Amino acid sequence: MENLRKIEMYLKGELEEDDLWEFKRALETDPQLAHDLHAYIELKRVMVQTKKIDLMQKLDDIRKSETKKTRFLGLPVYSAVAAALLLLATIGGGILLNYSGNQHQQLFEQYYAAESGSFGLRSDNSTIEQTVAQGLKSYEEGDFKNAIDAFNKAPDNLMGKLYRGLSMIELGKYDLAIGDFESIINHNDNLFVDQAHWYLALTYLKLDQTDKAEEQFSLIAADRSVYRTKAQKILQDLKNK
Amino acid sequence: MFEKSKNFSNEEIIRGIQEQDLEILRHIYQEYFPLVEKMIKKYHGRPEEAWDLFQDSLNVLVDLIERKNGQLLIEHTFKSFFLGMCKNVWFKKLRLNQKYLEARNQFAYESMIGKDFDEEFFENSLFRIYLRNLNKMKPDCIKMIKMLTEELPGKEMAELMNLQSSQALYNKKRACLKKLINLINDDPEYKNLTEHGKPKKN
Repeated sequence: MENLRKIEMYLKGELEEDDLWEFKRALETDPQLAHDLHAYIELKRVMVQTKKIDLMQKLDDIRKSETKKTRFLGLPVYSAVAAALLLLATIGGGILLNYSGNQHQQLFEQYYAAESGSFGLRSDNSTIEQTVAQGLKSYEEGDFKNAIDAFNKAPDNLMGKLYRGLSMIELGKYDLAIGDFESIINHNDNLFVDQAHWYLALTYLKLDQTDKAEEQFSLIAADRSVYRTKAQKILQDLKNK
Repeated sequence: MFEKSKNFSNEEIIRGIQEQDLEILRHIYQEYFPLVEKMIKKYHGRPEEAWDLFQDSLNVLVDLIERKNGQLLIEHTFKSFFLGMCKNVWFKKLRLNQKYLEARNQFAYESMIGKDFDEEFFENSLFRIYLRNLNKMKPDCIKMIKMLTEELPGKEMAELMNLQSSQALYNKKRACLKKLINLINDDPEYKNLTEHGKPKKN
């Protein structure tokens, strides 16, 4: 993509006559330029399909939540149901979630999807501290305890903090997860703020701390965050409860 | 938590797909994805190909519904219609891959949709391949490419990306695009699709 500037000007119709002529001529003689132009047009054609992108995201979320159900506690569904019933019987029904609590759990289950740790490993390994890379690998393998141990060795690494928070969620240690997400948000000048806001909001939802969750979702919904649409939807769901 | 799906009429399902109703989408996933998995197994596919097929088929269906302005009439049950469409999409995929040619010849090829859908098949496969590779990228690049395709003004993009100059923004943009295009070019499914799956021009 060496010719991005010219490609953009060409597509916006901003090339002057001479430059346009030169560009068109170059398209015939420079296969790389022709390829880059084609790829750029193709990408734009795909990315404008925002409705389908939303549909794919919803399907993906459904798939993740359904897969979670069928692998509940690593047991097949029916065994898991039996285990859950046994647990309820043991508790004696002493703890019952109220209606809104249940709904918050449902929303959490619906929207919480474990972040993939693989992107950090696939690209740009050189910029990630080795221990964080090791932590991401453990996280990706579902070994959250070892992941946290690795992230603890690089306490200032923000990617490590994000994934330590996510590992804490996976282990049910929500209070510790909140600390990590807040620390990323307070730092502010980094690439993980959107994700930190999103997972902080979901964690508050999980803990039935509705006011704090709503506050976070409102911030996301008002921003250009990639989670904006989802946050707006959750706020609507919370309002309709 | 593990409740069984309700029964929905064809019209309710079509409307639900159009409106991206979560209950309908979950119903489609619960009822038909396991059948797509079985079908893939029967027709020599790998288990992980079932999810791609399911998504592509649903996207083709979205296009068909749109083409009919939401008035798509299904004469069969939704189950037989959707699975028939999955089968058609699968056979189109087979055509792109030499190693499957022999397997494909074992089965009759019959379209249940009436009209051929090469264009929809190509565009939706391309769409999924792009999204899959985009999701392999770092969050900052995903954000950058989304903003790029939304054609946000450079100044706004630089602010949102915390970049200090237009040159820094340009460098970042170029690096992210280059990375994505390399990922796409290295994707075997993309190679097959663009070499063998382009719809014929009328």
